[in-house]
Amino acid sequence: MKDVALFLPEIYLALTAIGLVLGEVGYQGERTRVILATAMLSVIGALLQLLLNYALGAGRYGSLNFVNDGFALFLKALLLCSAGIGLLADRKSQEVSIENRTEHAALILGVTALGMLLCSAVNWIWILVLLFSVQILGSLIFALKKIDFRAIEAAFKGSLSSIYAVFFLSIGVLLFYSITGEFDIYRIHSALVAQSPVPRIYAVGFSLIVVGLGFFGTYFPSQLWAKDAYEGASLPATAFASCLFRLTSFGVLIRVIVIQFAKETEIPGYWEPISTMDWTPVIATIAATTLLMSALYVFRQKKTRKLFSGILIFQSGFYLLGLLALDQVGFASILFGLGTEIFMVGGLFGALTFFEDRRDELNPKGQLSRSVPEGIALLLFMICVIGMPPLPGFIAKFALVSSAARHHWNGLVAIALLSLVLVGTAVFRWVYPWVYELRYKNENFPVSWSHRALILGLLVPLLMISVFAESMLNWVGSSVAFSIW
Amino acid sequence: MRALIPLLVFAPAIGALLQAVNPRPLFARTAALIMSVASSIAAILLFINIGAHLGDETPHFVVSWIHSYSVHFALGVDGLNLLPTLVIAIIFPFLIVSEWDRQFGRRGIHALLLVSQTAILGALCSLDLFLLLFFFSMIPLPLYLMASIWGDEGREVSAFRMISVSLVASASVFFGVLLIYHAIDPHTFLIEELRGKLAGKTTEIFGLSVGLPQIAFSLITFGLALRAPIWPFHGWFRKLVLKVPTTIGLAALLGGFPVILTVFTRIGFELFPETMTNHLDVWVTAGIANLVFGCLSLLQEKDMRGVMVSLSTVLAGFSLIGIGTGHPTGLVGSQFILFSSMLSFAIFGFASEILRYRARTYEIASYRGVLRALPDLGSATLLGMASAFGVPGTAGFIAFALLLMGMFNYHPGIVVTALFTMIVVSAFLIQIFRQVFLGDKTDDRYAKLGAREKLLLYPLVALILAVGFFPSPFVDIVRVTIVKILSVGSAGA
Repeated sequence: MKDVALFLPEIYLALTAIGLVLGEVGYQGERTRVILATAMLSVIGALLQLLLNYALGAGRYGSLNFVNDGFALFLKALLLCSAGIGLLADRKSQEVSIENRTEHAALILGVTALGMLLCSAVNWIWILVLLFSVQILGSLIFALKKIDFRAIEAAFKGSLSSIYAVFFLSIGVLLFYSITGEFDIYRIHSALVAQSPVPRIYAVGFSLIVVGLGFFGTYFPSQLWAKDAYEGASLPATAFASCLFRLTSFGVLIRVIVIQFAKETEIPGYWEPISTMDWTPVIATIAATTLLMSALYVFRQKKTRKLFSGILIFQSGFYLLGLLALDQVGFASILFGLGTEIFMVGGLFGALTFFEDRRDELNPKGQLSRSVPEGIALLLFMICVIGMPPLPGFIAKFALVSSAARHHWNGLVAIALLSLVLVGTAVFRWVYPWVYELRYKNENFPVSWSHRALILGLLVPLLMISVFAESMLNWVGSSVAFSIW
Repeated sequence: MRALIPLLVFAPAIGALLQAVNPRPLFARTAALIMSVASSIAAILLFINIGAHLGDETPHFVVSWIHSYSVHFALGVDGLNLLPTLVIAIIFPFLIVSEWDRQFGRRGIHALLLVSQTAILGALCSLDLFLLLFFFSMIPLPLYLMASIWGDEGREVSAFRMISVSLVASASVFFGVLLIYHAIDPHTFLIEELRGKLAGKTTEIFGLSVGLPQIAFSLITFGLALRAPIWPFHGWFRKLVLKVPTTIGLAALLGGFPVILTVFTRIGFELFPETMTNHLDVWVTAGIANLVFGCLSLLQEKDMRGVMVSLSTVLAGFSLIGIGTGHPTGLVGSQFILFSSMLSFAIFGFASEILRYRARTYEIASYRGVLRALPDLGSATLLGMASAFGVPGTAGFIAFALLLMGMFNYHPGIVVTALFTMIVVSAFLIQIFRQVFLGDKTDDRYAKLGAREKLLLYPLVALILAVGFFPSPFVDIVRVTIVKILSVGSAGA
């Protein structure tokens, strides 16, 4: 019974998604449809059920294949927030056809349910199945755009990379299975500690798993597909899918790294690699390369969507810095960064959607003057992304870079800061035409109060996180501490 | 009194938010002015209070902000930052007033000026390195937007250069601060707790072991020098100021070398006393280089805004030499130079804007005989200039007198260089005054000053004279803190 209760949020979301699909099948032209309300109610309901899961305490369930702990619960809560923002943002975009909104909502709910399961999975079979499903369904969202060849290409690239991801992961997992005979990551850990595997096999297996998860964590060397896909998809789909992929991939990566490939040191909350092979330089190299490559890519861009897709990839490099620390503070900084990113990316793409939908190609300059509140919000979200004060992007970037500095990865810190300068420069170069001629009275865009409420509504949590950063960090820290590592 | 410090820093930020609440012009601009003035009043009250309790503990406002990283919301005012804080808090309301009748985007420019005020005052008053970094990184944002929106033709390159340099500066300071934070166990950003604990520490970068005081101090100094801007990193500043109205140029100037040199003095003498005192020659040499370059560049200025930029290089040079003397009198003089120069810049900047409003240009050669039409403007400008080159009876005289005394203790040769520079600067400023204000009136472009324009000039002129004739309260406050910082620093070293 307890197991069923623990699955309730996912079941609820999945049932709603099925209900929406059935409603679409039986749709006969009724004027009143409550797709958004139904989907949002389901997200809120799932959030409430997460509280119930919290009350049930930490433990394993579902034949020991899943785990209910603070880390999983926090990621699930973030996924639900992301789904809520995705559902609302989708409504405001003209890129998504009205006829496709039901499919969009059903896919968001379905993929969120699968993502939530993935965040608590501790058995490789389940991880592989769920990861593949999340990535395939998530990529399908890319295709739900008004007829555009690039959107189809984006979906195709997403699907193809999920096949590659699972391919690399499967080989990596099978290598460890061949050594340990286990798929459960806790048992693999015990076996690896007991028998000290051949370093070469260990290294290959580790690398394949990291590379495989990198496809949707969008870090080097598996990130190449993402910039094209993010550029081709609709803005709400990109915002939602990038958050979804990163949340689930980093969720799995952190859990696997800590449980399977690390052991706790004498100091509580600190881990170290288990075998004679120290893999932290591998992660450091991946982080440095991701940061530099994406920063250089962003630096070269003049087109908005390419720039934004590069920035989304750039963020992943920072999360890897937090992973490198191999301690609770480092993981908490990743969760803090991911939590901030949900609102930041949602708001940024929401504001951009507003302008993109109304853009007057004849007069692209000074767009911000045509709707100042949305324009200021766009600027603030942008500033947050590049880690400048006063929004919490600054604190998140600091926490992540600080994780690396704490373990004396000072060279990496220098690279991270250099990348930040490059991205910041590119962003301010992009900002200029938007504010240019702001002083002249341009014809205003028609106001959409609901869209404005959405964008400004996303600024509020960011400001709250900035002011109450300590409470947020405490919450994140206790979530990490309340985990079964 | 503690409660005045957050009011000093955040009242302008509230004013900026109020710009979004009610678009009616009267409400918006009155709210902007009231909030900016509230900050000024807080600064004045703090000044009076600190002056009345000289030698007592100075007011600090410390609240834990991000406990997990030991980040504190630590703001404080003492003799070191009081004069720049006071003058910045006083000048910003004048900047608001100078943009009172802007036709387009008035709310925008007022909001951005208020955000600038908060960021600059926050950086000046920060006693926590994280908070300092927070405000320091925030200063260029409103400037970038103001320059991009209200700048002249060709502003794109200027604004872009400014923000690029600022990003590099912030990254450099960020790195330095991180190294300091992780070098101490338990980690802390509080300057008070870091004092005396950094000497002898080492850190590793790319496998090389380096002394923490050397690397962290170098990174922070480089970042600050970029933002100040100090020669040879000042190219961006010149480009910026020449492309924006003087109100924005003044905001950039106020957030530049006065703030940066104050922060540099605090970090240098409180956290790295040994490194600082070992490199006094470097600061003096850098100061002299600024004097020479500033003078040379001043001689070929043809634009009123350019005069401000070159003069700022010269005065930053004087201030740097004051810091480089490592002597209490020299340091007090350095702080006084910052104080008096900001007042001079404000008067000169407002005068330039008043002239541009009438003549539609900042070009010096296009003005002539203004004094006959605008005697009050001419007098105020002359007084501002006089203070800039240290004429007795003005704030500048006290500043230069203290500075020269400090320099003499360091090396008499420096005094000769400084005096020579002052003569060149004064000669050139008088030449500008002659060209702009004297001679026959050639046209009727120069309408009489309005009440608002008089309001911009008279109080600042009065302040320059007041400090010139009654310097004691100002000098005493600064001296007490400087002596304390130097003694604590030398004990730590």
